Amino acid sequence: MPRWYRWALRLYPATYRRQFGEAMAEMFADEWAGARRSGPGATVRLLARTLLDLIVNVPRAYLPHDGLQATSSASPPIMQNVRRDLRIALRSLGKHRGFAAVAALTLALGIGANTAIFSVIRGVLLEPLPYHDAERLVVVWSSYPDNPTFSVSQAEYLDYRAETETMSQTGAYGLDWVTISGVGMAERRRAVLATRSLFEVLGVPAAIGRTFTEEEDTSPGHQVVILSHGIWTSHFGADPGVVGSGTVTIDGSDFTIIGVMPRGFSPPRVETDFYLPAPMDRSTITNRSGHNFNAFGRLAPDATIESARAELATILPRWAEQYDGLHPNDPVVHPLVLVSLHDEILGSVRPMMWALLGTVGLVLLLATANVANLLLARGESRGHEMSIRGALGARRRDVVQQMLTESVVLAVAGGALGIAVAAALVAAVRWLDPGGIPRLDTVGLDWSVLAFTAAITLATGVLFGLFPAHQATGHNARTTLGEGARGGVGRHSKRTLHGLVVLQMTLAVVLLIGSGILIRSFLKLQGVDPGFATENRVAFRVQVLFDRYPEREDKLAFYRRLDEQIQAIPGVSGLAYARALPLRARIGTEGILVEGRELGPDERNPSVDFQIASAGYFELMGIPVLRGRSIAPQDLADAPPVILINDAAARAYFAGEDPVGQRVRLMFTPRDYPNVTIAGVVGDVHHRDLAAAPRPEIYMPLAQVPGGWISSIIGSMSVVVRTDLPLDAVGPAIRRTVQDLDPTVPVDYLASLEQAVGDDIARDRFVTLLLALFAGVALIIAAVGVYGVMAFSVARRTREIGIRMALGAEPRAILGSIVRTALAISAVGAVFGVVSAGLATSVLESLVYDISVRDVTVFALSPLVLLLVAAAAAMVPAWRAAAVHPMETLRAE
Amino acid sequence: MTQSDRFLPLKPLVFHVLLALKDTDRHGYAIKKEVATRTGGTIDLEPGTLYRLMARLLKQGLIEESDRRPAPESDDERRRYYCITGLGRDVLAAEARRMHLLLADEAVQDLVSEGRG
Repeated sequence: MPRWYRWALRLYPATYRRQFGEAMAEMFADEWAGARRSGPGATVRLLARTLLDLIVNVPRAYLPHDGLQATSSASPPIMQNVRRDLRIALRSLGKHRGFAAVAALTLALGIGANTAIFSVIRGVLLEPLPYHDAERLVVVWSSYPDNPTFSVSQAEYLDYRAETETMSQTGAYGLDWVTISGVGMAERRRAVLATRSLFEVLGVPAAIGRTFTEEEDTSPGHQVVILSHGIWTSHFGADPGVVGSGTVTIDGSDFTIIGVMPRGFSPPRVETDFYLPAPMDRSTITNRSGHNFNAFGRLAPDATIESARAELATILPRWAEQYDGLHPNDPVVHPLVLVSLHDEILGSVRPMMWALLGTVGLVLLLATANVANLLLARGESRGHEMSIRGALGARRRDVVQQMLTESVVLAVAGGALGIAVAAALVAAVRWLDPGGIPRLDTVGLDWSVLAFTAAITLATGVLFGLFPAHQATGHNARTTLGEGARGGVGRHSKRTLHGLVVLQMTLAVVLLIGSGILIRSFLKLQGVDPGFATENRVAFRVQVLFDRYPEREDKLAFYRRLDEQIQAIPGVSGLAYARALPLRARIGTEGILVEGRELGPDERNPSVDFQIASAGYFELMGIPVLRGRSIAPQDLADAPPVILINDAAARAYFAGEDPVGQRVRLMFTPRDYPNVTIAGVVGDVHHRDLAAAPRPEIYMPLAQVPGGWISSIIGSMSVVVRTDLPLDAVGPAIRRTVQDLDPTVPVDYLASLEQAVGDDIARDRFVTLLLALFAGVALIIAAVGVYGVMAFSVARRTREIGIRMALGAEPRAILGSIVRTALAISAVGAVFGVVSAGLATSVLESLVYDISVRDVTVFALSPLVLLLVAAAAAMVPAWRAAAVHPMETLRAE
Repeated sequence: MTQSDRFLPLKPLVFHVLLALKDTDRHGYAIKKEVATRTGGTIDLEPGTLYRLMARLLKQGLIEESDRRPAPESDDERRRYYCITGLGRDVLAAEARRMHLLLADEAVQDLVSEGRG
């Protein structure tokens, strides 16, 4: 027999359990054994019936009387009772509005916060991804030491596709920026270059029309496009007729629309409106180093990710032999790795979500503890009232039922308010959307979660309503009435109340410490110097059409004209170009070789972020030149080629020597491009994010970018402008200027650099804000708890205090003694809290920046804050006690 | 009104449990099985329901714990056996008579045959 049934039997009253517990356990054991023999169906049915049996019979076992008769003529019809109890409950709660409001609000906060956060977590983490059988999808990455999950090359994808047997299907996509025209102004959009099998591996066919054919998948030149549901609706009026006959102008040529994807579909990790074919031909691919494909596989029915990894481990060594020497940028062939799609998409947000869930769980616990506290204190103080009722002839079950009704009314009110709180919080979370949290925009209020939390709180309310009811009615009328006159608090209930306060303090300290650590970490992150100036800088991105600007000189000429025109805008005082602005765009990595250095057998050539910058870029961005010189206007195509390196590169690759004047081979440049001279060292810039240390980076002058195919990378450039005008004013002027210069050139990502820095830490701000909010709520609830208990104790001790003061006690001494009691109880909770937090905060490890999760300051300050709040909460009842007029209290008897 | 009339009419469950104990002492699980057999499986008592009922019946003096034990080889000494009291027997009989009178009524007889037809 499962042990839980014996455990569940403990829910029955003790005397009852002593009498029947053994027999009931015995009987259940017999039934359990029978059900187990009959199979799982019978077991499940028995479980369900037993659960129902417990729910129905446990509460009734507490009722003093339940009859054997089919109808009990002695008691009035039950509805009449309920209505009467409701009336009394509402009247009684109305008389104690403060108590009712605090209890209902506390419940509402607990229910609301939990429902909201759990709804978010369910929507983001637990809902299946929008692909067929998404659990069996894996991502294939190239793995480099400095970039463990990097795009794969076409060759790698095709080789893996050909050799794997653990995958039933594989597919891949690359990304490209294309210019869509024909809709007034030119628009630059991200297009997905998809293999035919991409749609098969994801298990999502076109909603209308078709995806790519075999032919389109293998030979280049097919001008066909598949649309997203969104763009089909917004730009083509959701007209099914465009499929097959309509066209889209992409980079100047017409592409036939062949299909529309279902609503909400996008391939993993990218949002797109246009799908173009990505023809791959094994025979024409020799360069294995162009890593620009995201590849996916679907595990074959009998395979697991472990077996797929095992298979990969046998494939890779063969490649190392086969392709040795064909991989010029990577003397050591890098491995491929497999990551489940679920982990890939959600892995980075998971710690943050669990931290939030843990937090709201604590808040719920705190809320229920507080309500229990309030109900207990109130129930205790009503012993007197109950005894009078009893003396006047009320039956015990009537009294119990009436007190239960009160608890249920409170719980229902709290639940209703909780729905409002939850809805508001979900809306707030979506509004705060820091970006980068998958599927956050689809999150809605989760009713099943709401029902669950509401049930928990209701149960708490009923349980803690039942307990004092039981106690109150157990009193002998005479002793209670006598006791009531004398005042004072029973030792037993006092211990329970104090225990609950300690629990609340513990939870609040844990939450305060957790949020304190995140706040400190966030402040540090916010204080990180990005390495460049952000004030009065506006940035945007332009892209020129290849057909209109085929040669390097054409592009450079366009950028020179754009420079002049933009600088002519009043209020603009400078302009510079870069390949990718820090914190705004991903930057590519390339290999370099230092002249005169031999690589050891296991050594890799240095890998650096490859930046292109125009003359004046460092001055405009406020990046200091540490050694040598900056990029000068004279660094033109016919001048000796130079590069600048950043401090991180100097430290990593030129430790102890002067890099300026050294010569370097850029691995990606054509064979006839000469080695370049390092002309200067500039300060580090946080390119990828503020939290990560800057990586080695090289800067090539824009005018010295080699001709030929490489020059296509300057077809799109970031532009940064110094201006004292606000973005609203200068933005339209910039757009107009670009359009006047060439209407086919789109302007994208127009924003201030301050915003770029802000966006980078948006997610940290989001978590910190939420945690701080919940910690604040926790602090308030804990304060209410302390206040409630102390107020209750003062009210009960009024007579004792009166006597003490009549005997000469100073009001200050009375005040001090009450605040001291509150502080003593809270201090115990604070100690527990610090210890628990020490064990718990390691869950924050991946969320904090440059701070220990056991930060001493936070651990020391948080309990102090809480003690202050506790003292403040105790002050109100303490003052009330000190203001007690001895004669009045004695006369009141 | 005799002492036994005070309990009438009985809840069907109570009636079945008393009936199960009419001729022999039984432990809880045996009562459950007997009731299930008698009612063709329509009443299947859960431990909670059964023992709450037993508590009431004990308190009201309709049943009591039995000292008698069956043959040692079929006995399990952890089990408590229950037997019906004199009062219990009276109540059971009174309920049976009440139902019998009810059923003897011609109109009720008509209903029974209608249901069959």
